[in-house]
Amino acid sequence: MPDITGDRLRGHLDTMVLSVLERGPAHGLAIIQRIESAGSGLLHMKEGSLYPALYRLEGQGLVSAEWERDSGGRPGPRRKLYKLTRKGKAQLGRGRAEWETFVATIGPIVGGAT
Amino acid sequence: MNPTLDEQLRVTVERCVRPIRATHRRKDRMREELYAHLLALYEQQREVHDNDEAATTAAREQFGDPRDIRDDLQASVPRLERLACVRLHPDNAQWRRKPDESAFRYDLRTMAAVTTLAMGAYFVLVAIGHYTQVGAHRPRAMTAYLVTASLATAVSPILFMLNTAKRESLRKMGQAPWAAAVSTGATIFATALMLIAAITICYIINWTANAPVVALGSPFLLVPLLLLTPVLVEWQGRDSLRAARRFELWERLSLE
Repeated sequence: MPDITGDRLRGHLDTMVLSVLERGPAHGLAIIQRIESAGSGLLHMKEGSLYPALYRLEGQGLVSAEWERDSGGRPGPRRKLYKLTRKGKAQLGRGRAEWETFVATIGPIVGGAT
Repeated sequence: MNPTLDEQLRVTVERCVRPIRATHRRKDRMREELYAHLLALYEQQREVHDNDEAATTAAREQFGDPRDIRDDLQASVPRLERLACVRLHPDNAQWRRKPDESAFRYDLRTMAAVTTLAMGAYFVLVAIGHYTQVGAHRPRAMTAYLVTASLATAVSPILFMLNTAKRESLRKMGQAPWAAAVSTGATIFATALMLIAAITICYIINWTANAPVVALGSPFLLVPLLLLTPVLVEWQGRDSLRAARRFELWERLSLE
């Protein structure tokens, strides 16, 4: 099966980020790891593109962010921990409903059922 | 890690962040986060590759094209902030310090220019108010305060933009900490002068029948200034020498 990359991921990135943050707060790298591991190795994103999405979601109040207090002995610059807000949870619910409608509508067409 | 390779990672970050129109505070945050991410990617790649250089190249590849990231980052900045951070050209002769010019004279000259321009804009706004409906109704003292305070607030972005140009000019000359202090000082000084002018204008155009009331109430005019000053200082993100030095480390990187 071919990998899913680039523009095919971009349109769904916001909902995917909200979805993985539902499991608990995470910093950028952990968010990518959660997305990629959930994608059975088929999802490959350019990792820098995650941050504009996170800033956008933060600007909309869907996620909140705070600098990591304990680096666990890790050297180097600080990281930010992102957390789903109540507004983000509501948006995630809407995003999932939209996705289900999308799949229910487009799936049969692409699958050749019509 | 080899310092040259570390610089390559920083350059990748800087290519994403430097051209963005956003406050220094926001850009500092972007730099720190992107750099932390790139370093983590490098550590991951180091376990796969047998040398630092290959690991750095792979980390940069995995990170993505800085041009695409830059465009997406710019789009994530609120529109108002983008507008406020439009840079006036720092090489403009008016803002450049002349070779034989003393720091004091340079500061005085640019502050005078900033204040004159801001007061000019303020006077136009007051004149418009006076000769249109506001003036026709001879507002009472409280209205005069509110109008004056609103106008002072409206003019503040001009001060902000002009001081940004000046600061950028100083930064180019390698005087970042000095630029941070001067820029903040100049903003406060020019705004204070503008408010004194505002009170004087209130008297001159006789916006209130009871001038002493305006005089007693004038401290209220300082409220937007007091609210605005920390916002400006915070916005510039260079209110401390530490922040200025950190900023300078990034901005000194050559992207050629």
